[in-house]
Amino acid sequence: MPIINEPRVRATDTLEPSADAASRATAAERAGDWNEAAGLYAVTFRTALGQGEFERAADALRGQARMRLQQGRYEEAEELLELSLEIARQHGLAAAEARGCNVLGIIRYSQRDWAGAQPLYEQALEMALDGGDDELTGLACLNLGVLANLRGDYHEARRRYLEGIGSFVRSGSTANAMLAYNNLGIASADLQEWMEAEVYFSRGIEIAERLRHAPPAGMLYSNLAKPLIQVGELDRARASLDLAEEAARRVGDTSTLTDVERFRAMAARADGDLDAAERHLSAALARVGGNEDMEQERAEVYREWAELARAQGKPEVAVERLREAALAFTRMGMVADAEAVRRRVAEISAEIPA
Amino acid sequence: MDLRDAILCIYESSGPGPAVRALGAALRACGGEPRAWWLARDGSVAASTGGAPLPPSIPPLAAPGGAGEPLALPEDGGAAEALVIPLGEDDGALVVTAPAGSFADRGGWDAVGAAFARVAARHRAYEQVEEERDTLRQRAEESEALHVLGLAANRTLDPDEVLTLVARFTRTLLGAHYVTVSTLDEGSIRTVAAVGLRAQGPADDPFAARVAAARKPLTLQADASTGAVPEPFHAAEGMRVGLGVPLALFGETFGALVIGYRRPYELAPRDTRLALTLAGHAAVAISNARLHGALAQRTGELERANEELRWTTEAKDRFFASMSHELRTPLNSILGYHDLLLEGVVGTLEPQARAFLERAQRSTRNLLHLVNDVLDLSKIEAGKLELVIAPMRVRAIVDEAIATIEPLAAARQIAVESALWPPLPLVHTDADRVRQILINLLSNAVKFTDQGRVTLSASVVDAGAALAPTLAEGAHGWVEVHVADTGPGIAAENQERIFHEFEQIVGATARGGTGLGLPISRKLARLLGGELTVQSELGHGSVFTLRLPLRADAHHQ
Repeated sequence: MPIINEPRVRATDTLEPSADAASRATAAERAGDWNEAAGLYAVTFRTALGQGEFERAADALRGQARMRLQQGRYEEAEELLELSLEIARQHGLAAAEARGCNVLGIIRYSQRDWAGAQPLYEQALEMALDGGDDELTGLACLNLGVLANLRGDYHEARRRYLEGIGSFVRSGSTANAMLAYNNLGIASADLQEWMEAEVYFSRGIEIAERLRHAPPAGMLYSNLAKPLIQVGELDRARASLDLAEEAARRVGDTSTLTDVERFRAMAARADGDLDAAERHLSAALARVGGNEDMEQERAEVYREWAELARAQGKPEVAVERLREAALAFTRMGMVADAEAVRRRVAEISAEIPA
Repeated sequence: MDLRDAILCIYESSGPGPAVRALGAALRACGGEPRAWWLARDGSVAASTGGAPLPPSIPPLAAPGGAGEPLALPEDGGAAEALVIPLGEDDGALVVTAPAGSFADRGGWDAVGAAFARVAARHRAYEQVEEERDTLRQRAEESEALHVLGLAANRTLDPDEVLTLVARFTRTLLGAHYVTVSTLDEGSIRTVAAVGLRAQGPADDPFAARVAAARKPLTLQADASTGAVPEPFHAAEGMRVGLGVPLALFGETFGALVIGYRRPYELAPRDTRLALTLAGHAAVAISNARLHGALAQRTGELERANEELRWTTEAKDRFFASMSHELRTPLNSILGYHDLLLEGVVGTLEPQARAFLERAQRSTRNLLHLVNDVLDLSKIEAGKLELVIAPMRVRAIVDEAIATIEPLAAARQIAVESALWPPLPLVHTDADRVRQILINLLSNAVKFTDQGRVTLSASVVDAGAALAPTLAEGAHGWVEVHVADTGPGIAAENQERIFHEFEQIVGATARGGTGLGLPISRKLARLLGGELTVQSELGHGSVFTLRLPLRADAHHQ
């Protein structure tokens, strides 16, 4: 799935107490310590409010909301965000308001309310353009691209990701540009433009390696395997998957590890080693387990398993697996993917002797 | 106070800030509470030992040179002194405060200043390198982004899609509110792609026209008093700052790319550079679209012309076929009546009348030959000639052809001889058409040979096991029949021309013929899956070779 993102509170170089707490909150957020970060953002908010630093206060509330979002506490996150937006509006803080709109959009997205997320991202984009906030412009474009991707409008997704890259280049937000390249690669792969997908993922990898960001590097190496498999570069695909696995294991990224197994299965199927393919898919499914947050990974595993079953001469099993995938995509509201899977069901069903 | 350790620490520092702190630490080790400030060129404090404010009695920066005299600090009741050490024009000055008497070693303090100046210069160079590195990295990121845009744009031939991509990418890369792409079409400007416009639907943009006419970047700035730019189109869009660059390729200007900001914005050279690069992408898209359009139009024209040509050719074939049929009937009738007259059915003819009638008879026969040739040619070209493929004995057909031509040969006193024949297999082909070809070749040979002979021979080429009296399934190989004469020969440059319709080489017309015999013979040979070729040399006669496959394929028909 394409990555959706929101920037952390920017660290400042002044040393007021609220700024100090904000810096520590940012550091905790980067370390993935959501509770610690949420507490520090709360301290920042109270201190900033006491000192009349309303922009910092609004930013801190937004940071706190982000942490609750990470913890799946959506209602709490939304309440914090509403308050942040209120402070921003009351004090004419256009930049904070724009960023608040973006995060509110992310909360709606996380709740699978994509129709509700769209206008919020659009509003964030307009406000970011008005305020000359290039980084937020890029983030809003990236998020709008993700929604287009989910709708199955891959061309619009690609346009949005390109816009995002433009903004990130302008703002010097290299890490965000890396994520935009990843999403652009995914949209290109969805359009079956394998050469372009390879270029975009490779570009993202270059940045990830330079920034030494292991989680996105693992994901990018994993994603790169797909276009390589499609163009028959199986050795390169396997080498990329080895690097992906190494990076993902280092940070315990289960999602990427599942994708790695799935792509290994795909490569094995392309090689005609159907037993190995089945072993990898079993491993992928075991990783997903009953984790509700990995519904998409599960659907993709079923989709690949259907292709394996078809290659094994078991079209009935393939159809069964595809139906499970379609159900999962539908549950997530991924209409375009669900529709693509149904079309595949019809194609494979036609191969089953009456 | 021993300054040697302090100087060493300063030299080892990575920049003025650490150097100030290192100096403070080194001096503290010597006792007292010395403080140090590094003042930047503009007099502001760039670094200090403890964040303490600069004593107000410190005078403005001293002139370059060595350290001046220590100053008593009234703030400390004269117990402390300050020393100001200028570091050079670019690096400001170092200010140190210490207990009175600490600055007795003037040479040592000059060395401290020199060390500081060295560290500051090193740091300045380092910052320059860092700045250049950042600039290069930024350029590299821009290049990558433009490359990515190019990749995406190359995926489509749809100019609207490319221009929209360019407009949207330009907007974010330049942080603008809106972008328009306008093209010149027969002198008038038209907005063909836009993003971020408030107005609905495209409108004419005179500023874009102005940019295209100027063929260089132009800018717009809002008037300070009205807050609006002096271009109605963009004033209505709320533009405060605008940049227009021409869309140009190969010396031709197609239109303009206009970038609008609705807030105050300071255009940088980078903006113009990027805008020009992006305009290049748009120009390529427009140029490609125009070329594609022109190509499509030309292809359509050619298809129409081709269709007309096909219709005309078919009409011509129909006309020739019809005309030939219509002419043959009266010609046969004329020939028949001539025969009756010459046979004396209606009475004996006067010698002169007979001579005239015989001439008329020859001309009529020639005309009939011509009509038959034209009919054959039109049938062949229309693909309507019917072949009757059956096993054929080559020798029998050759004998028939010789028998047909013998009267003409006898009249011209030319011997027609048949060489020693190898055993020949049956040939699966159309015997009538082979006979027609051979008669034509023999007739030409006799007509063009004034003295000497015409010789026929045959050979088998690449026949494998096919030399059986009956034709086996899958038999392959060729039979060649050669007609050689001792005539004048054909110049090399004419050896292909003689196979073209209605082309006769110089001198040939006097010997009669329509100029269609050889072209028809070659077409027939090819229809039968074979070939008709000539080998000749001026003054040494000619050899025509008819090559026939042992088994003619049905598809040749």
